[in-house]
Amino acid sequence: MTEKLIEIKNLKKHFPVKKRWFQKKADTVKAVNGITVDIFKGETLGLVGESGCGKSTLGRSLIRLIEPDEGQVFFNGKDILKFSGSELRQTRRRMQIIFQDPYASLNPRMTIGSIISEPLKIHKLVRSRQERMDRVEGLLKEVGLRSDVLGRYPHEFSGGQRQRIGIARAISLNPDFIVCDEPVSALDVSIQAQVINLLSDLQKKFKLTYLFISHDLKVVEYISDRVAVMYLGEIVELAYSKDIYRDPKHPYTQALLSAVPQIDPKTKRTRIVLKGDVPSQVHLPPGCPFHPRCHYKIVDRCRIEKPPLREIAPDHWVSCHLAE
Amino acid sequence: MSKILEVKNLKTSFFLEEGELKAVDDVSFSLEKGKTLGIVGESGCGKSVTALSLMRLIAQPPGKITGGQILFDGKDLVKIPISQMRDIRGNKISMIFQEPMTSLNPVFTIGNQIEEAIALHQDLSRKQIREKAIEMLKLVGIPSPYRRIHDYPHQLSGGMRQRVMIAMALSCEPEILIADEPTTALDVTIQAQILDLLKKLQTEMGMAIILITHDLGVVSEMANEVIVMYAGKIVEQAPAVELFEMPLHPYTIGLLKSIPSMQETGAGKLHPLRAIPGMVPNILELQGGCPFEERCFMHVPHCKDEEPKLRELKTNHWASCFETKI
Repeated sequence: MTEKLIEIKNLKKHFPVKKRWFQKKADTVKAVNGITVDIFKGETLGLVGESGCGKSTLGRSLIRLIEPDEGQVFFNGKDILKFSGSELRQTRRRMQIIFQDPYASLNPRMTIGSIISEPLKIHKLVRSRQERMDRVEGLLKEVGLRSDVLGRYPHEFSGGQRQRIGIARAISLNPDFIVCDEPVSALDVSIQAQVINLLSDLQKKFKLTYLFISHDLKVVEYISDRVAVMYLGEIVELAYSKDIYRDPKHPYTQALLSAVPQIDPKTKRTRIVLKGDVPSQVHLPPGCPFHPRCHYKIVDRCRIEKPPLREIAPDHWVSCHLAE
Repeated sequence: MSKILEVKNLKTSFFLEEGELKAVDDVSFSLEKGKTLGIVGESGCGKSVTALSLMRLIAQPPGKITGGQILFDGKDLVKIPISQMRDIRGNKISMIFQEPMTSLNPVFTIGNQIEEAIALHQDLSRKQIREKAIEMLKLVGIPSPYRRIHDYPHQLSGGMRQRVMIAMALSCEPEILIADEPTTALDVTIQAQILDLLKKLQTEMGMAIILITHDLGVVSEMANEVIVMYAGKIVEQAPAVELFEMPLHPYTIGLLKSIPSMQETGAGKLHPLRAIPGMVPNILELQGGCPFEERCFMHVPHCKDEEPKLRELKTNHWASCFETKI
């Protein structure tokens, strides 16, 4: 499992906001602000954080649905940000995405059959119509749908079924890597569990690597091998799932975990309630970006110097001056 | 304890082209002073329609309360004229909604909107109204309320907007607060702030809360009593501690099993989640029998023929299932 599939090096994406007439340079929203992380073959890397922390931007930058501004993304050792034309198309085949909103990510005017077979046509992976239909039927079976749905349209399906269709489309090209961008957030609890189970079955069967983006910490813990916690466009903690949930080192991770409501009415836990809202991503606080909300006793260093991501225990990375 | 609200056999239907959709079907419960009642269920189970029925906010047509009683303050809210209902709504019973952006008016300042609620129900001078509005904003923890009162909803973050909604709902010191998915659109850290705020205000003001949510974790932290709804009906009702410790209805058991738990750290990968198979049925297509029968792991042939009634299996613990045993 130590073989790297994807290496991300200092990836940045800044979105310009409207320039005022007296400004020399437009302000930017620092959605992804220097991220370095590796994703190993066959693992699920969970990515958590509050809304607006840059999770989705990171996921989309990796497969170049959003063009990053700076940095490198190596896929199997090659920098895909330098690719163009056929090279890029070939790589795209091996990287797919599943979107959050199963209502918006399927074209309402296309039948299920054509939605799932479109990638096969584009990449010319099947020779005949018959072969294509066989493939699509196989994929439908794989995601637990009956093959008689082929001629039907997305509006005839429930949220959970649509998400299955989105998954079938994503695996149709036999990818190596799938970005799951909040794939279960829009679903009801009972359906959510079905889709999670489907994703882990497919991972085992096809040896897939996932980047699993979610704001639901319970779901991420369940499905991920390693978890990265993002805050204001940066990774603040990265570790194996069991380590991060048992012993979170970063004060932000601690607050995040303690905020999750638990089904256990008897034990009353002490909750760390964070002060205030997430600061503006246009004007980031100086020093440690988390210091204005931190519950640690902050020292001057926190206000001045930005903490680097350091390895505090084996495979446990954290960006905090005070963490031990 | 004294009952502040009593709902008896409430039925609300929507009359559609396809037929009568019984969104709330024979729902009864009572609410005690100063306590929190949680209503949980998946989308389309009738939890929001129950809340809207209590407020008499069902759009008519196509909706209509077709039967039952809502007893509050010696009156049956189903029967009283709408003018009387207006005095109660927002005054003695108020409500906060899921989406704070769509439930605040974008063209008025938040001050205007809170003041409107106060002016409508209380006989105060304009100056007193403004003071009261600022006091409410301070109470819900909005920093520098004197300045913020002139802000428009778009200038506030999601958590702040939800605080404004709460300030508005509580401005007339209601006896009952109905919170319909108050934290669903918010991040966990902000959710924790809002839930703490609601608890704090509940102890200070002594109001009763009806908390509607699909998040069992939220219910477990907030509620004293819990109702589980499925396809417009109550399938289980019990005190919160009891319900989470010993759920009796197979639907409740299934719901609890389908949530990944943070306690089973690391073990997750080994065993798949026990999902409930299938999906929520279309209420229009139900034909007798137990509505959960198709998805149930306990079902027997008899479940198809007869609909189970809610029965008390243990003191204060009700469930509608033939097969479940203590």
